[in-house]
Amino acid sequence: MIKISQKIIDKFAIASGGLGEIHTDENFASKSFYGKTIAHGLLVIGLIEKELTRRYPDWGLNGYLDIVFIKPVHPGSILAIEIERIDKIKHKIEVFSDGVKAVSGEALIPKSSI
Amino acid sequence: MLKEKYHIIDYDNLIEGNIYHSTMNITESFAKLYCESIDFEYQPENLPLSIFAIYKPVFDALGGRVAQGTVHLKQKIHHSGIPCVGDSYKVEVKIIEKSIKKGKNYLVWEVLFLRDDILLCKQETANLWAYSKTN
Repeated sequence: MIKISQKIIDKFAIASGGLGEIHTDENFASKSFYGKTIAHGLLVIGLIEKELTRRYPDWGLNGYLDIVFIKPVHPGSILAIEIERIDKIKHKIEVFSDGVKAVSGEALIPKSSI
Repeated sequence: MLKEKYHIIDYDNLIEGNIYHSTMNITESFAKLYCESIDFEYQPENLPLSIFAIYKPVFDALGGRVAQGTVHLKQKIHHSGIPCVGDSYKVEVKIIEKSIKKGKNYLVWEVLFLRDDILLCKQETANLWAYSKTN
């Protein structure tokens, strides 16, 4: 479980070059479709890949991730990353934000890494 | 408020099939900053794979950033190696698809990261242009 804060989003914005106002400017975000700032999709990917690396340290030698963003992740929300092995290499990936599915997809992990 | 250094590129100026270039150098300071941002233990010879999943090399290649409020819809990433401090990458950004559906602009690009001309990471990103800008 990871609690996403505006501080985490801002740190990622600086590190990644993703300084978009929807992520970093609460005033802009308050007038947007979402009503408040949202975490970067690439931040969520970083957290998913971190969890994959924790489980399969060598997966990056020939690994694949394919995801769809379903719902935005707002500061203050709790993220839960779920990775379920489906077959020899395929893994189901789901990320829940305060219990609501925010990301769905799959990862292919080379057999040599499992 | 954090200060943006990129100007906004014009959606109409992006052309399907065009390839844009930049470089990404993984310095120690950048690697530490990135690791800290995702709370990943810093190891200079074993950096997080997602260090490729950032905006800067793409915006550098395109000559600016996407419109404010652009929303990330989908991402595919294929990794074939572990990034390290000191690495230098050629970055190629190719516009794969532009489309308009129900009056909304969609944009798909592919990004390749090559170290010594060997592909280490390939990504495909689908965006909805300026979707969340106003309600």
